[in-house]
Amino acid sequence: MILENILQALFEIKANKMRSFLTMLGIVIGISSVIMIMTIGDSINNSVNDLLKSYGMSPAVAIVIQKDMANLEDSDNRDEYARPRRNTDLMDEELFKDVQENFSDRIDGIVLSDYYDGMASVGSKGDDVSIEGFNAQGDTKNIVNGRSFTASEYKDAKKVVLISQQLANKMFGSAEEAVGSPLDINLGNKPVTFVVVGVYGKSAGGVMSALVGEDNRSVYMPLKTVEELNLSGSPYDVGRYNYFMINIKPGTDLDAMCSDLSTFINAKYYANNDTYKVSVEPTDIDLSALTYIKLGIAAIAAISLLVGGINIMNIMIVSVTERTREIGTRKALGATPGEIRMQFLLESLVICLIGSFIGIGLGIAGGLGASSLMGVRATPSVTAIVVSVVFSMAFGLFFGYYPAKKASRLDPIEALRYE
Amino acid sequence: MNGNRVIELNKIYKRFYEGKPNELEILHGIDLTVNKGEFISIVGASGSGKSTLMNIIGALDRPSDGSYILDGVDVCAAEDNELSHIRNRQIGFVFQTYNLIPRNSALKNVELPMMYARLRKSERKRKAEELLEMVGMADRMTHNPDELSGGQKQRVAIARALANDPSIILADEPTGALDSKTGRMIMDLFHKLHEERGITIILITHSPELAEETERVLTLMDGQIIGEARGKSYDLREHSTGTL
Ligand SMILES: Nc1ncnc2c1ncn2[C@@H]1O[C@H](COP(=O)(O)OP(=O)(O)O)[C@@H](O)[C@H]1O
Ligand SMILES: [Mg+2]
Repeated sequence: MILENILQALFEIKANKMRSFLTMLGIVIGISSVIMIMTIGDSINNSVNDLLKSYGMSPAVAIVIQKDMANLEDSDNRDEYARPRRNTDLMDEELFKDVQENFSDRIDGIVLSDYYDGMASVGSKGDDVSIEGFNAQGDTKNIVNGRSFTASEYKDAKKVVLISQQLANKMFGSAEEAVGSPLDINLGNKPVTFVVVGVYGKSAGGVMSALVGEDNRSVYMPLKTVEELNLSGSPYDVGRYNYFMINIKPGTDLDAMCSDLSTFINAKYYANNDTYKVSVEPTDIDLSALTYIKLGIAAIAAISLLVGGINIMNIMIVSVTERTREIGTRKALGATPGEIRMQFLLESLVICLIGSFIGIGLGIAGGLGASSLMGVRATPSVTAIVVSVVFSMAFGLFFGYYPAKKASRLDPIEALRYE
Repeated sequence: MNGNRVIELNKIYKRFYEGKPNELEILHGIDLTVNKGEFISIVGASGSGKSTLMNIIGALDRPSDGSYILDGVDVCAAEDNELSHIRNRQIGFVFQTYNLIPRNSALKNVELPMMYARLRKSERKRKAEELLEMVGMADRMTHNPDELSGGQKQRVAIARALANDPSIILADEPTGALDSKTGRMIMDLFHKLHEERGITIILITHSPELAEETERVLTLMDGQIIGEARGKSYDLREHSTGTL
């Protein structure tokens, strides 16, 4: 009987294609928007790690701060009150090794980086560049020509660099020409000659680059090379670090890892330090533009679902009126009020389900499209799909109930007399 | 009480808009008894209350007053679902305007009452095909109502009325929208059902000739039965057009 009614409903929907389509439209738009946002949202969440990495950022950072500070932000404001950091307040290779051994199940790598503090420029045109060094674990550059640094280059602080495609074009005409060529960099008016070993390309594409900013003015070199260039200016010994960044393994709970790691480091290395401790915090990434887009789509989704639901009720009422004679006939042939109600309820349910299937299809397509546009790994949201189906069924029942009730209550005499 | 009586109407009144200022009494105390297997007709002017009476007999409507016993069941006391059940199993309606469900094939239309009777799909289909064959519509089973002529539609409607082997057929001006030749064929079909299956038939008609063919002719005027006459005997074989 129910199957029969479902078939009958499909039949009615097919017989009134245009009307059915218009009925579904709100649901289709609503559900597809929901699926789209959820897919994009999930994709971004899944990809934040990759995304950060591709910009040389890591999902978490460990940094030496004053003991009476809750976090990094506080300490930025109050640093002046503390005694200056000494070498013994900083972190070293021994600590890093210890962390990596103890957190090998969650931590993928410890990234160390350093910047050349002064102004630097290259070539006769004097292009300003920023000089940045990283350790082998921080090497995530997308090399389009040449190679990245070798283990010995890292170890021996060789004067080798990676430059951007843009800089390569400007200075050497092409990336091919650049690789292997010497590059003079003025460090505080003192020229130092480096060798270009590789050229890096865009780190991420599309909208995401616009949001985070494209990186093409950085000149990269091995960490130790930068440290040695900076020796004169730095108050600390080489191999002593104020902070390090942490890459995590997929599936790691970032917040839990941060708190576990800070407990570990502070208990073992900073228990006796009078002023400083280590704070481990997730890296903030500003995705507020995306949040606005998501909110906008969510608003559209909510409105179209509501309009869609009312639309369904409306058209079902019209349909009941149009089919008054049919309802009267069915009653004359022995349909009970309950059976009539079931028929119309299932009709609106089926319309909503078909609408939600179409919406899910469009939403996934849209979500995947948008995700690839933003250069993040796309994952259709299973939760969103399940929720959508359940939700649209509830919708069909809720907005279909009144018309169905109306149909079931029609007086068969009136219904048969209806012109 | 006679076990042969299938319909017993006792002082049936029907009022519309009851209790409102525009209350309208349409039936003024109808007494009517119909025996099993009878073929009777009801004639009367338009507006005399024929359809209203028929709706009460068919358990589509309840009388405002009076008692109605259908096959031993007190219809006035029955619940809505019970009435649906009675209409489904005991009664077959044939309407002037056919009332086939649009966009549904002849076969699906005939299956409908059997669906409400919860027959299995295969059983329904078999029975519907058999009935359509009987009314001469074997070659039109998959056609939709709008692809059928008036006479063909009415034959499908009759097949549908027979779906659950009802004991009573109620036909409200079944030939009213048909030309006389087609009407004749439909009338012959009723005679055949009456004779071969012993079905009780109540026919409302405007045609005195057709009414004459039934066993008993009741005349309704302003909501009262004002006359009852015996019909002339009718020999199906003599009149049969042979194109059923
Ligand atoms: N549901 C109804 N509501 C109000 N008036 C009705 C209703 N059904 C029938 N009538 C009135 O009852 C009278 C008899 O109608 P009906 O039984 O259809 O007559 P007939 O079938 O003999 O032409 C008519 O005046 C009609 O307008
Ligand atoms: Mg009438």
